[in-house]
Amino acid sequence: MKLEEVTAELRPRSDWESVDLGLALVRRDFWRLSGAWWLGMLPTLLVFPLLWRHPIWFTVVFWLWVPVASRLALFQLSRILFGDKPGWGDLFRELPRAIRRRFFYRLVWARLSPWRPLTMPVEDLEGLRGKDYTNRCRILMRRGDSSVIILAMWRFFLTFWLALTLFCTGMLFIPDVASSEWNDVISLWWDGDLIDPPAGLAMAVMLSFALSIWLVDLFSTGCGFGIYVNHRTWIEGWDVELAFRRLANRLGKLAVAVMLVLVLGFGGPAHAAPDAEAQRVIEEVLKDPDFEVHSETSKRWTGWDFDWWGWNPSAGGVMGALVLFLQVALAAGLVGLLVWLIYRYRHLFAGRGGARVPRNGAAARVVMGMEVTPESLPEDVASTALRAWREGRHHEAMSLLYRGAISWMIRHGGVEIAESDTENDCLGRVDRAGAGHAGYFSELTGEWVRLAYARELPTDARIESLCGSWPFVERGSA
Amino acid sequence: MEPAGTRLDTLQAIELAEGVEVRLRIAGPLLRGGALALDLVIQWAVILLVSFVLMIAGLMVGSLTSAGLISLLWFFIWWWYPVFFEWGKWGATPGKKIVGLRVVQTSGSPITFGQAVLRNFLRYADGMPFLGFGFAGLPTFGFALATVVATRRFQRLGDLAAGTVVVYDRLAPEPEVPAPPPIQSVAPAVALRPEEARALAAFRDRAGLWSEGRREEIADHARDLSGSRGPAGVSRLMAMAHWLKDRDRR
Repeated sequence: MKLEEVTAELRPRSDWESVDLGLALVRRDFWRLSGAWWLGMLPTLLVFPLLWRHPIWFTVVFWLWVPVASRLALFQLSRILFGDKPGWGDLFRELPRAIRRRFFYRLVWARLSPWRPLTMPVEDLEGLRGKDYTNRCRILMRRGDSSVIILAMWRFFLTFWLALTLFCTGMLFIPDVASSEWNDVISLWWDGDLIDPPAGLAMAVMLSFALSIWLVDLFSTGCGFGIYVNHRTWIEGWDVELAFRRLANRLGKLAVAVMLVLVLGFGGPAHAAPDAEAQRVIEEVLKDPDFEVHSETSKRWTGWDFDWWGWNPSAGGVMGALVLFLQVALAAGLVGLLVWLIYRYRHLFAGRGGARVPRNGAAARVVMGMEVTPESLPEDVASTALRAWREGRHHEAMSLLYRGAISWMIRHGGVEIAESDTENDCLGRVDRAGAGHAGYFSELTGEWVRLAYARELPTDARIESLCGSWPFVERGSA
Repeated sequence: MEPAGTRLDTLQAIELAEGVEVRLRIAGPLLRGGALALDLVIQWAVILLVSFVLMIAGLMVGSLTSAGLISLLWFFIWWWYPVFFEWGKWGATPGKKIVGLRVVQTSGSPITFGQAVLRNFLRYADGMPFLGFGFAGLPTFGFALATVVATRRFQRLGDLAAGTVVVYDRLAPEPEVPAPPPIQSVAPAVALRPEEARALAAFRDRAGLWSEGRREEIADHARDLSGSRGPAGVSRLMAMAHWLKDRDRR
């Protein structure tokens, strides 16, 4: 599935708008999809010679076979949505699969299922079976299936109504001479045997039903697919993913443009003077952390005028410059190696005075997207938070308290907290590590979670007591 | 990738003066069919009820008068009921009002009296073919269905003639399921286009619907913007969305 090549606008829609999207999709490629649909119906023509005397029974067979045709139409429709255009060859290859796939379930057991337009994409396009299939359908219908059920009612009603309409339209074209005869036949049919009408009339009825089943099923397959795409857009954020991909695309192009300017810009006067707009864009791109230049300063002993390995770089010439370069590179490399060794084995130096360093690398600086370094927090967390609370900045106050607590737990409580931890993880870690003030921390976490996820503000009194009993002040004494 | 203009959509963008763009949420045939059914029920109920009252009154004022009044009622209910309601403040017949639809011009403004007359008097043409007696039987609305499905803006014959469309007037608000609020706010390193800023806002507002893994998957596509992958990327994008929201509020 290539999301970039989608040929319809993906956005989260309301249920009815997604049905409309399905209709619009079918309308755009109506004849192509109809071709696929009728290809799926071809096998029923094999039974036609057997049943040609009983067109009504043939209509029943035709109706039973419909899911195969919808599958081919869905196959075509889904590929068109994502920018492919399968040809007749692909459709012919798909036909046996469309017949075989869960034959009994789709054509007999679930033939009357009102959810068919929505569940068929799950089974055909995602290829799920059994428990996975049931779960997936349930998740897809979490948004509600009222539109699917109403669609099913429309399908039922429109199949008959449209057949009637087509039949009547046909009747309009019967010349006056013959029409009275037809009217007599119809009234005879209504009075007599409903199953076996006169042959000509039965053929006409069959034809109008076939046409109506074709139109209704083709469009409702499209509607079901529209609902399916919309549900997935909601629960998987297709539109956001697509927008981010386009953004990445644009940023990627920008980066390439910047590179080109940098590389070629000095070559010709044509590139030499980027206008102010481009300059601004370049500056913006260069501000990105990706473009930060990493530098490392190292000192090199230059006290002795030492003739290294017998070569004198001051001899000049190309050879001399090369030698000088090699020497500098070698020295820088050695210093770099030393720095790296110290960094790599820094745990050997840990525990010999100085700050406590947690066992697993550096202490977390950001937890749940919040900065928790001591530098990012005010000196007196509790009173700053209380002030913020009184000024109405409730979120900030609570976050200050919570961040302060986490920060203390990391620095002084001896709790290892990873950047990816959630509130509950932190709580568990604090308990396990047996850090001080665990009771206060769990209370604070409770208030924080209620505010962050349920938008429930704690009472003023509660905040005052939390700030009043703020225990995390004795820095470095735990 | 196809340019945005050629991608299929159910919204209709209309450019007004001064480059303002409004989008009409055009409604399809199924909901409109429901509204039509409701209107028919209402119309029949009114006709039956008032006719009954008039017939009783006919015992006093004479049956000829009451028969005339019933004929007038019949005429007004079938021909003028949709015209007056759609021309009025609602812009919709009671049936449309109940299901949340509204009739507007293709430019998005309310319809004029002439348009209301045209689109509703053409109901007769939309009602074809008729069941039974040639041109006077029960309307099947086959033509209406066919033209609604076949036109880009879901217009029936009356709509095409009068230059009107039917739009969704009231949509149930979608549940917003935001992720936990980010505390930081970070300005994006690159100037964002409006659609990109909207995507960031959508990322924040709907992240609660997605699993953590899916959130990271989506955020990883924007790693050029956030500068990091995984959970860090997610929280950085959240912080940017927060910043954008703060900026819009100011």
